[in-house]
Amino acid sequence: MAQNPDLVRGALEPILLELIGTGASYGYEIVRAVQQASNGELLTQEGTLYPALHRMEKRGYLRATWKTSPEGRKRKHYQLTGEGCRYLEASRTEWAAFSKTVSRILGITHVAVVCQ
Amino acid sequence: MSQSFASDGGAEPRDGTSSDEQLAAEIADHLAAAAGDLKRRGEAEDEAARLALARFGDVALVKRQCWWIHNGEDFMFRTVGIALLSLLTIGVAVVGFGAWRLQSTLTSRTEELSEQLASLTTTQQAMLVQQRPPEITGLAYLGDPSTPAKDVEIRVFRFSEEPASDMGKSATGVVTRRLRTDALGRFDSGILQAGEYCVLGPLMDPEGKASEHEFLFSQLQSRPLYLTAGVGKSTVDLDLVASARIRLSVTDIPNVVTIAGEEVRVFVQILVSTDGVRIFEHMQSRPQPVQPSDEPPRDGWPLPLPKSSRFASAVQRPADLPRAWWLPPRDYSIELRLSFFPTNTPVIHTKPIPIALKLIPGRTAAITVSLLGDPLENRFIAAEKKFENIQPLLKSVADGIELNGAVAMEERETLPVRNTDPH
Repeated sequence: MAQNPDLVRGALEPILLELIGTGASYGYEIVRAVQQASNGELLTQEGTLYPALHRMEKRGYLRATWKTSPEGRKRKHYQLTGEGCRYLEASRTEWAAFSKTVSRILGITHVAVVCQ
Repeated sequence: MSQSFASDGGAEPRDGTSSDEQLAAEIADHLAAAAGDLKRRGEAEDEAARLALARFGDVALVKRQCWWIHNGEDFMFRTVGIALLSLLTIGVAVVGFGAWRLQSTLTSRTEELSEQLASLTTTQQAMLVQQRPPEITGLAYLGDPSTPAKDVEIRVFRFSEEPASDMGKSATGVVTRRLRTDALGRFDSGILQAGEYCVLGPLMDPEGKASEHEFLFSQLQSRPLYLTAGVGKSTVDLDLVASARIRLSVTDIPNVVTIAGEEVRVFVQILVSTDGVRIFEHMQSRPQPVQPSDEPPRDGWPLPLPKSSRFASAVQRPADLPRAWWLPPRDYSIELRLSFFPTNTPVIHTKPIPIALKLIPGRTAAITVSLLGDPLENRFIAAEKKFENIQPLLKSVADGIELNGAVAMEERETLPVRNTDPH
């Protein structure tokens, strides 16, 4: 499925927060989690992950820590903050309402909305 | 302000490392992890590195985007600050320049105002000078301003603000000043009240002599002028000389005729007017100036005024003629008639004959009066046979008399000749 950059840009941050909240912590691991969750449809350009991570870190949704990888490399790990959790919840609600509205207008009757 | 990445201890970039270096380390870890993953899936090391880099995308672009996320705010803040500082500097410069311009303008305006104030002060001074009380000054002269009329009386006449009476066109008013000219012919009224004035001066012959009995007109009236408060000095110059003459002579008219034993004196009367009827219609007991009018005298100012109360006239015995009178050169209307003065009855006049005359300076108009028809004595003799009473007799003779006036303009003045008739 071809990715519409505008649609991806609006959904990427909640997706990343969701996956980080479920355990993914460093860049490549997060990318793999997104690709697996999207069946490879999202983050085909893996580098686009980092501006989103850094933006959320700056906003306080994520907290970063540096650790050493098993291979001995410096690795930056991200954790969801309380502010990030609240933002994620709000994003879920907004996205559900938005997608429902768009689906209704576009005539889509069966929508699978995953909410945890 | 650069982003400072938090760390949990020994593996994080050392203190002082820049955010660029931290980002580079993060990307390097990503690429190494991806390449290692690919190698574990069977890719060669080089190919794995290449594929990892290809999947990552534009590293430089990612770095720029991240740098901007962390430093854009500072950059923007700094840029805006610099811009604001620049604007402030420009503003200060503009304000300074404006202030300088304002100061220059104010200085220039102040100078202009100072000049205007100085000009205004000058104008006010001029106004103050002009706001002196009204005065009339002038020069009385004899034919030429270089020949002053010395020690002559000049009268300043103020017209009444009341309209002229119905009795005539002469003005009402008062003589407010009686002045005498100095050795230079000058006179000065002194301070006057605002109002309408004229100056009266004596009419004089070319030698500067004035004789009440020698002039049909005795004085000159200057142009009326209205003096407003603050007008200051007004100048009125008067040429007092009457430079033309009328000489009157008669032929074949006796001084006295005797009718029925009664002596009747005979006189020749000359009535002279100028400028129409204006100066002869008044009924004043004394000659008064002519009322200011929108219609100036036809021959202009000054205007000669008669010496008698009502007419510029002279009554002469035929024996006293020829007789000459000095007059100002202008147009005149003359009437001539004979008057009979019986001893005990009223005077009887003949019909007047009119003569229009224009007098020229330096010339004498010689008027010779004669009877048309029979001599005067023969007329009375014939009338005595018709009338018993003298009054109808005189009336009959007077009505039948027709005078003739012959005018000749003489280039050279001749001295008047006085008859010495004993009557």
